[in-house]
Amino acid sequence: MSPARRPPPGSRGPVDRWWPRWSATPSSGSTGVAEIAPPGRRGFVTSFFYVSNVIGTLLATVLGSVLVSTLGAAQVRDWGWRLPFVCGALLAVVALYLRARLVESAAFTAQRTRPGRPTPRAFREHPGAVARVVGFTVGGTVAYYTFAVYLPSYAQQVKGVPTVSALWASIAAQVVLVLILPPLGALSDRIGRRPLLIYFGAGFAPPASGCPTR
Amino acid sequence: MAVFGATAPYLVTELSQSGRGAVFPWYLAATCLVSLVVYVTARETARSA
Repeated sequence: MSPARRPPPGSRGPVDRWWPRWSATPSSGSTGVAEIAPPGRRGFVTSFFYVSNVIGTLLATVLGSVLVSTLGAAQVRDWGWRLPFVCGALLAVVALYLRARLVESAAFTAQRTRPGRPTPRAFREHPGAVARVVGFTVGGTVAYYTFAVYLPSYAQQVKGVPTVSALWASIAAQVVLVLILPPLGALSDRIGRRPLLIYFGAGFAPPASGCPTR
Repeated sequence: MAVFGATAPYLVTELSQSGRGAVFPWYLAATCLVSLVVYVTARETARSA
């Protein structure tokens, strides 16, 4: 891509064109969004990365519910399960087209030296930082899967809730998540990240606060 | 994220099929406790460029 088409540093333009492309590569995607976000609005801008991620899961769940409601569970087991894979394959072609035209962020371009084999080096030279990153994300990720995956299957298997009802309940929860993420990102720009993170951690760390114990 | 998060669905399936589904809330609590420790000791970055 020619330098003339490169967006100026701190430009907000690329965000709306970039974020949907990354839904399948969480780490490089969120890093890229954080790098192009203007200082002071990083929380708000970066929240759209997760909005895009959750919308992807959401559409998959809706597709699952629609398939089960229209074809019936037996038909889905028989051949219908292939349809989501066809959708995923088509979307991958779209993502490939978009990513091939992507411009590197100003922060990456400004880096003069390119580290050789960055992943092994990060583990060897900065094990503390790597451990912190794992610690930062592990709670939130497991909490997300608790609502997106564990509770729907718990409702079906233990409480006998019909599959379609459990899936729609999960969809409702994820719609709420998509709606509150940007305002919470903006709030973290105003009051800081730590208060929100600590509130989350303190709320979920006591056992059985988030979900039933049996 | 990938290792603990992405294994969560498999862990759920594995635990529920072997009748130990009750372990999962404890897994959630333990991982959130780890994160809480990291959050409390972390430096605020909202104001840095």
